[in-house]
Amino acid sequence: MNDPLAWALAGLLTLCLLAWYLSGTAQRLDRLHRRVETSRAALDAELTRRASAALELATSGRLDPAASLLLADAATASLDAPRTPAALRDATAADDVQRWRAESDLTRALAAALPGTGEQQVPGATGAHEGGADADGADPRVRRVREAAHRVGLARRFHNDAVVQARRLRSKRVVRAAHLAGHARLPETADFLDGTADGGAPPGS
Amino acid sequence: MRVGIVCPYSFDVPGGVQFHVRDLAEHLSGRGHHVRVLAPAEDPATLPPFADAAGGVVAVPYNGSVARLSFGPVTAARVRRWVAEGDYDVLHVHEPLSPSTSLLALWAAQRPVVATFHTANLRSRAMQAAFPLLRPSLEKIAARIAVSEDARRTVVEHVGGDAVVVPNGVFTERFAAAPRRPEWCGTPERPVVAFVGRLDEPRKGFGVLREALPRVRAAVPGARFLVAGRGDVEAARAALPDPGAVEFLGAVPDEDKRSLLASADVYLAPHTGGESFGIVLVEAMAAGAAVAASDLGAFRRVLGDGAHGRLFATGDPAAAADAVLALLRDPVSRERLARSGQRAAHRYDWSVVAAEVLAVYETVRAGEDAHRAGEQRRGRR
Repeated sequence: MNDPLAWALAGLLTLCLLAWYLSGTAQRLDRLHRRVETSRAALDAELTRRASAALELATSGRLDPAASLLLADAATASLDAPRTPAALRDATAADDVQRWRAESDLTRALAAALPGTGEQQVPGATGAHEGGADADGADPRVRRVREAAHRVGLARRFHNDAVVQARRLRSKRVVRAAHLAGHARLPETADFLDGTADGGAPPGS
Repeated sequence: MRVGIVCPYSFDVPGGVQFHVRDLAEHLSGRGHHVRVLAPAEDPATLPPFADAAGGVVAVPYNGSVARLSFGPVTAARVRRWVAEGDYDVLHVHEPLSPSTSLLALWAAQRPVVATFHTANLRSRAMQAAFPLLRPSLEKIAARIAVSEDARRTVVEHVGGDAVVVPNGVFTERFAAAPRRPEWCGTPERPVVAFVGRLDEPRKGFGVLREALPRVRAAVPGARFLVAGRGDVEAARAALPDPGAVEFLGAVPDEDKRSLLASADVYLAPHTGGESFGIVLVEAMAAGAAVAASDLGAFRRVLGDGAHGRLFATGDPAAAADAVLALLRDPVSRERLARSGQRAAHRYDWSVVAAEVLAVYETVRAGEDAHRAGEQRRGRR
């Protein structure tokens, strides 16, 4: 191994392997960032759908006046809360905190107005077939709210899953040393009550 | 919606994952979706009409039993082409960690992937060794589904992250409407206990049934046990303490299984492990049989902690016999239990389960669409 040519070849090979590893890791990170963005967009869409459905139910006169008022207030607050910006890097922690507080409030208002809204009550599992076990199940407005609430639970879980994996990869030394994440914002989990059994608990904790 | 479903196990061997994939594809097609299934098979003619062949099948011991899998460069290329040419809105991969078509599809995937985890017992040593290699592929999964709480716990512990639980589905109406066969129906003197499961697979618990037999027959001498399932019938018969009590039906077609469950008074599930969900319990419940089952976590959940069936200590023949006897001796409470089981089974009907799977697909699609719209808006500015 005294031959300078052999040394140069070995060095070149090492460099190639390093470049291959780094580009592979960068690609993984890029894919995870994309997943964080799309799952956040899905969460945003489902939350908007839930709030609209809740507002529709609140103004339909189907609930008692107190529940209607409570629900309308929470739904409007959710619709007025800061939206997720088109580019996630423009999002701010303060906006998110405000948004998640409004969404938790809406979940609580829905739980009060429609006892049993959550994942335990799977949309479609009750209703027509059970014949009166749940009279609410027949009303399309209630069904829309329940379905939207169920989807919010799904979307939140998928988003947090993406966030946890992205953060895991970004915490690796190689990613930090090589600045593979660029200026992308470190994603945060969406921590709000969504009515599911473990709703609100940060995943992986 | 265009849905591509990938099954890792060959359809020539019956199994929970294959049935799940087949029924899901059938139900979604019936609802007007475009569904294609990719499964290991040499000859496309052996597959159902909605499925494509992924290539050569090799029998390999995996995860405690022999699985018929498909892998290698030819299969990998075929899977890649299938994924690219299918242009699916959602790619739904089953058992993404099995070393077969699913893992290859995940490797090739460029679009959002939904993955369903079926098993509750991953080989942790093999997993740990191969995990760093699998992680980049696993990161492509946008939505994870587990078929039971036990399967979900496996995902949380071995894969990391979380999954939503969407159970296995059953066409409950087919079971409820199955015709009863007079020769399989019990009478007060000669009640019928049914068992479905492979005889040579110890985890299905045929051994527990065999040892519970004398105790049941001592109390109810006329009790008949109808056993359906593949395996060496002669060897099983020779090992029986009381050969007159058991009638072996061998491997039965689906219609016969449904009729058997609808005709029997009691369905006995003496499984000793390896079950992450317990679909056969739901089938028996849907058919209207009263269920006695070992208290495995998965069974306990399906039976509502004993509200829809009797539970007994896992692997204990005396306890199994007592549970069966309690049901045989009290026709009124047996009937009540069977009715409550039939109602509970509706939660697992494909109409309910497939709607939940579609909700997952649509949630994933909603994000893709909204994200694309956002990018276009930004592009115009």
